[in-house]
Amino acid sequence: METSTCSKKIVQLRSSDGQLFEVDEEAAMSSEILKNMIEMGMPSPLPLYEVDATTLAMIVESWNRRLQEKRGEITEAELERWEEEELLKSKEPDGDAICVLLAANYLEDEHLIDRAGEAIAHHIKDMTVEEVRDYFEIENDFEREEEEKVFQQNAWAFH
Amino acid sequence: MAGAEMSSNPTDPARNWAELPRDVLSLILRKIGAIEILIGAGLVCRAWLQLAKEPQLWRCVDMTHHADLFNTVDMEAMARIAVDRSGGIMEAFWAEYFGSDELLQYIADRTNMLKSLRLISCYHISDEGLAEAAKRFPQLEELEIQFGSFSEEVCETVGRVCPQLKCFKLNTQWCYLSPTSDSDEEMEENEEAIGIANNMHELRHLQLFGNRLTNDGLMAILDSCPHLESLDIRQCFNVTMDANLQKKCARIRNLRLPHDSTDDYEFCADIGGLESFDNDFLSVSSDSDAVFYNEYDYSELIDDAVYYNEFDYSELIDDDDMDFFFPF
Repeated sequence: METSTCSKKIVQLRSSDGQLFEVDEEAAMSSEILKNMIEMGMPSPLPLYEVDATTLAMIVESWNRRLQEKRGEITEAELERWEEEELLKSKEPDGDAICVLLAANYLEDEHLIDRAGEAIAHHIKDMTVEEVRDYFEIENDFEREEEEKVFQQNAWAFH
Repeated sequence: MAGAEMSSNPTDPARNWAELPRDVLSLILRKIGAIEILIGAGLVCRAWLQLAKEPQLWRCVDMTHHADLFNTVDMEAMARIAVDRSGGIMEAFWAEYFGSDELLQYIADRTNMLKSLRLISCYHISDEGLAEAAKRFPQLEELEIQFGSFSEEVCETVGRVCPQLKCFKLNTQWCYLSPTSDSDEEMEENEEAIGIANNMHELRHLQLFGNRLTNDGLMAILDSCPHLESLDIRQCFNVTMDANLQKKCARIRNLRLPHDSTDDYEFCADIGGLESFDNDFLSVSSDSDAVFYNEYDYSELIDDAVYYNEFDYSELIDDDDMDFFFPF
């Protein structure tokens, strides 16, 4: 997804799988990593080794929307709704929140880290142990003895 | 902050989120409540259990909003684990529908940093238990008591040993009693207010929902708490705002008066004792035209309730300048 707005500076980013993105520089500054790269005068395209094109597309769109909100073109409520329903798809079980969180963490985008973290936390907080394991596809790596010990110590959890 | 080594492609079956970067996982766990970590996320696998034991996660232990678990889970046992895991750095402890004098002592034995204590419907904590515990938390800055069974002396006893209290909430249900003209009764009605006035000079925020204080009691508080910024005396129907009180309250930035709306009050605002009285008594005049008997459904304790400000874990952990004080 390419974006060019009527704002002055454009910066070019390259995803881990080689796709190029053009982004408003002001929007890209949402990421501390990119902000540093830009201020250091690193040449374009700026490489993002750990964010693939699909995820980067979503992140860039979120930056653009935040810029729109900052400029008063959309309301804060509209931004939040988009983030929740489109970006993080918090209401759907297989939402992209985890991908967004990992990418936001890599990019050091505090706002997005917080939002995505919130979405995931909200989703898993009422889950049982098994449900959390399924959601994250985590293997139960407790040894049987360990697990029994843990269960005993936390007996109240398993009424 | 290093990124994950795994692919961030959501359709990649090889992802193993047990290897989420620690700081990312920590962030997620920080946003989950204490109870949820203990009975869910914290038991998922070794890595998560390890992370769930880190003291930073337990600086603020919020065990409220879980009325549903009350009968199936040993909340006190969970609370003790939370306290243990905090490694002495616990600064806030919030409990609802459980709690005992022994638990308060357990907490006092293991932390000397407690700044915020909220006790909601903790009917098994006695006056003595609270008083003894308060003595061990001289640095306490926020105390909330909602629907307890404490006597009027609680304000005096706690106020005396917690001189740094900046936020105090003592909320209950207003109940109409048979009217008398007994002046002793007026003294009793102001006992809490006087306790506050005599001892809690550092208050910035005060909430006394459904309290029996009269104009005299309110005056004493206003005269003795020079730093007061917010005052909530909704359903304090013994107070009649006259010109003098209004003048004294002018400096209060956030003021909620006896007949103000309770729409944003998180807890039950039902009024008791009304069946004993006829309608004439109910139509006592006030400055506003509002009908003051408002019947509300018992509100579900939802996380995003307007009134009850959730404590923001991340603020506490990331920012040394911890701000506990929320306006109403």
